[in-house]
Amino acid sequence: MKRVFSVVLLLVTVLMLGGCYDYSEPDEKAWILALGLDKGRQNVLTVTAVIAIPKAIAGGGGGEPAAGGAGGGTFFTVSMETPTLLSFLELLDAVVDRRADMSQTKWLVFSRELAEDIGIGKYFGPITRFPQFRRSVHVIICEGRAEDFLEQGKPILEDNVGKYYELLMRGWRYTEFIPFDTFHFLHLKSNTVGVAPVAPLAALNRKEPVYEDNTPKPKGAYQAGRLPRRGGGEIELMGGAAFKEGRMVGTLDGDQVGVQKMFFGTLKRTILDVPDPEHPGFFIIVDVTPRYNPRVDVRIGEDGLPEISVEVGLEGTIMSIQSGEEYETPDRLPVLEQAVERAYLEDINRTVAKSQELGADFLGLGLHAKKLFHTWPQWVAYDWNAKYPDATITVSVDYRVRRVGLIHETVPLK
Amino acid sequence: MFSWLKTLSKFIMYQKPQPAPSVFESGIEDRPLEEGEKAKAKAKAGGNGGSDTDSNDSGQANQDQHQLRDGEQNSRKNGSRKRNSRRGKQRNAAIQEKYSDKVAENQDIDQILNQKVELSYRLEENKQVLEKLFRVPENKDAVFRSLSIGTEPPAQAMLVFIDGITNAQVQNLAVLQPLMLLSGARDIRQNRKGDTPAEAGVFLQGQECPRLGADSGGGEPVNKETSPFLDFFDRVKQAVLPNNQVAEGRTYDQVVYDVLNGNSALFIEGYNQALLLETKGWHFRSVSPPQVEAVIRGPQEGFTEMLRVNTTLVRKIIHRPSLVTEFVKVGDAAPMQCAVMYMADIANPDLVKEVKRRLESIRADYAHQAGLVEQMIEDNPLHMVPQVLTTERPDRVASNVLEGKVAVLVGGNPFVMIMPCTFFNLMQSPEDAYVRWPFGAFMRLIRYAGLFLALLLPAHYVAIVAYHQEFIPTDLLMAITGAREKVPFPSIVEVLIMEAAFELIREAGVRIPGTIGTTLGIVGALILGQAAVAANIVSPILIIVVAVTALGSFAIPNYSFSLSIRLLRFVYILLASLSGLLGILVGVFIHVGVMSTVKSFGVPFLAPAAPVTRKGRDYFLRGPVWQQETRPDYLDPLKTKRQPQISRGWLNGGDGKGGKERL
Repeated sequence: MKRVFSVVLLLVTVLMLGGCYDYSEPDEKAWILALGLDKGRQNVLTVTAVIAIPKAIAGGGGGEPAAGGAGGGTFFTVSMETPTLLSFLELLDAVVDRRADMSQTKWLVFSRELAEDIGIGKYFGPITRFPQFRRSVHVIICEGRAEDFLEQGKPILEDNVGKYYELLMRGWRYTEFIPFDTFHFLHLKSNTVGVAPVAPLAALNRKEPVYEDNTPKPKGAYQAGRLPRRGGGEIELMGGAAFKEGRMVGTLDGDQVGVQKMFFGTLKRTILDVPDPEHPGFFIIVDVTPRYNPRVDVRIGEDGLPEISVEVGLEGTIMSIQSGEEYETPDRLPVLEQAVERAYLEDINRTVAKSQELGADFLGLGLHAKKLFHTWPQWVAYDWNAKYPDATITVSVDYRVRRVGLIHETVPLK
Repeated sequence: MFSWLKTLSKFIMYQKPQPAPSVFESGIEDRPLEEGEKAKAKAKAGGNGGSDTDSNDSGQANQDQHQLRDGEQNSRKNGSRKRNSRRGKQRNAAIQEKYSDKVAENQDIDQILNQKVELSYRLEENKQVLEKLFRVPENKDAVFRSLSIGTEPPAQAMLVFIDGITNAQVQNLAVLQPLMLLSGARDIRQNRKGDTPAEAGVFLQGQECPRLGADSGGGEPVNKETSPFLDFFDRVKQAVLPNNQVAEGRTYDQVVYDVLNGNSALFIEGYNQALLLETKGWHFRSVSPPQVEAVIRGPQEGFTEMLRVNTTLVRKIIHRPSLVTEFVKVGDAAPMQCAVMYMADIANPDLVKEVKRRLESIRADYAHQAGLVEQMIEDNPLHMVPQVLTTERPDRVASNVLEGKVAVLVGGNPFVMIMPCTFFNLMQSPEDAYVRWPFGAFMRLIRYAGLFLALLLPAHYVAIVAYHQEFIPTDLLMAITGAREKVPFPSIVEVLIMEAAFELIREAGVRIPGTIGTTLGIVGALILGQAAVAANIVSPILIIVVAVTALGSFAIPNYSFSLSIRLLRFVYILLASLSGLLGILVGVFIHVGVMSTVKSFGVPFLAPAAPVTRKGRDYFLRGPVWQQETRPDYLDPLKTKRQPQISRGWLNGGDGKGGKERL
């Protein structure tokens, strides 16, 4: 009895001393779903927080569903001028009655201006150290100011703006245009020699026309802010922002992001419009999935510059042949496959050229070169980033048609 | 000062078990094994036992009995001196003084029983003593029926019984009628040997001459060569009374006990013995479907309040002569019959001995129900878990007895205790075995999930909502937060309110009279459901939590175990409110740790998982029945194999008798 009593007493004491300190109700917290960082007007930074209004999302205590509508009223934004990100949290408590909490944050939005001029590297510190942040946060680069972006970026289908952010980003799984670098990977890539990160590029809907004529352009030629469209949500997410040494150095269009994703295994599938080799003005549409990760072979040439050969293996399904030309027969298939390879090769070459031009190895080719060096100092001394722009890179693409879709024999229109 | 630290460390640290004489004697390995003391104890026990048998053998019991009782009291006093002295103070001296004559009278009467005073030869004296014992004429239950046995000349006799618990018809037809009307009709000697009636007269003269005892009465007028009977008394017993169970009583104690059990005692003038006749006939509930442990497939009969019916129900299933039913008298002031059932060729004799030892040692006024006996014989009364498996299903008792366990049936209670019992037994239902094994295994999984939910779901709700909001998907968090906006209490208060309300409804549901039972449903549904939410007392999500918790606790098949889960749930809720998931983790750690120290009749409660022993296919999930070849290892049965390796003989295309291996 004495023994049991002493154990219970000890337990209660321990729990009393250590416990209850963190007890907090969810309705006593302000849930920040996104944070935006801009260059400040009156201070270093303008930080914007998107704070959810749970009762509008969940409905009142009576269990009534939310009123719906254009997502209006389910969140509000607060922008403040602060020297650093974390001091904003303190300031926020002066304006919002509930204690701000960032454990549910989905997006960390940097304005392009801030990312290009100051860089985002120095704002990573608090995120890696501060326990409330989670590393699955997505870092987004937006055109224009982040405060406008977040304030106007209202969901249409969702009540919960957090879900809106999540689902928008989830497009990386089924399109090639949205890069998948969560904060975790972004941070790792930033800290590693031989690879550079790419963050998703976002923008508000552009009101005036982007292009002046209607010449054919591949669909992946667009990027956020230059998407010719009418209607839809305010936010568009497409293309990427390439970083070098923590600073944004350039943008990638949708196709380039697709190539970048292929090198990291995050490209699940994409649809490619290939100009018909025998019927100009017609497209062949194929479905493309990677067959294996790109095989990269790096050699250091006699001039000390890297010589890189890349072998890309793809496969896929014929989705549509506009011209009605019969490409499905075994002897005709190579025609189609070569057309796809040519189109893809062009994309890859364009991307490689872009990365060499920016001097940012966002394809991660340096990771394959690293193994040629026996020690870390040797690798650092080699200075990959300096040599990479002058590297010789040859790419070969191998595409195989595996399936022809539901029609196995094309009959031309009569 | 740091003694608690020491005790704590002792508690935490593993102690190497000492070799024990009987593994089922619980806690024996925790006791210090000092040779001197042990030998002393053994000697003492032996001495006591010896004196007991001596006193029984020699007729002059009084002196020895006194000594024995004193000795027992002394030994008890040594065991718990403190408690005894306290009891002494509580004695009500004033009342005892006031009614000192009454007390003395009661003591005198008790002496007759305790000292096992033998019956008298005189019928009148027997009657007087019995009247004193039964407090006649105040007591109207005891009936003394005088009669004369219809022989020539008539013999005076007396039938003693308690009205209401005997079967009047049996008494009339099988006792009184043959005695009074037919006793002379069939003199076996006449029929067989053609003896003259005169000799019968001589035979009857025997009653005039007092005998010392049945064995010494051989020299009496009864001619052994010609008569199959020893004397008149024997003849009545052997030839006159067509009663299925007849015993002889020699002491008042014996007679009184039998009469109280519904038998009738027949006294005959001139004999210091009584015939105890089976005339039990009280009213009891007939065998009906089990109330608590219902199954869909399987026998639909449960135990009743009749001990004899219950033993029959088990024997009906196990047709083996080795199924032993032993009767043990339990209790002091009002002793009660307990039946101990086991397979003599399977159960470990140590286990049987230990069960009987514990039952016999019980001293209590009222230990007439299984629940009371359970509390008297369990190993660790301070622990939450039941250490005895209670069931009202004969088939479950049968299967457990065949595993090598021991069943204790308590008179007047439809619940049978099975021991030893482990955690996994408590989570099983007979249904598991009666459906095909994948479904049996699935049902068990569901039940374990129910256990987890009943014990930990509200605690997890509190912990996650109050401490770990980052666990919650944003949408759900928004739903929880939005629903809580107007609730004025913290989550922990909210949970406690709802859990308390639910416990209240459950308790009220058990106690509520059946005729107004439906009201409870309405009230419960309104309070727990809509109204509480509409009034913003609790959030709707919590209703789901409480409802699922309730369902989980109803899925636990053992009522007693489910009670302990109900109680521990609140402990976990408090732990969660103090330090979140860490608190729950600490709680589970201690809970499982404590549970692993519990023993049921020497068998660790978590066996065979902790300590790890050989496992059958039927401890956590349910395996195919043809794979269950061994009996539980922790029972240490005399036969470990339950069925041969190939239990489905037809697989070999053989004679259907299975493999050559026979059990």
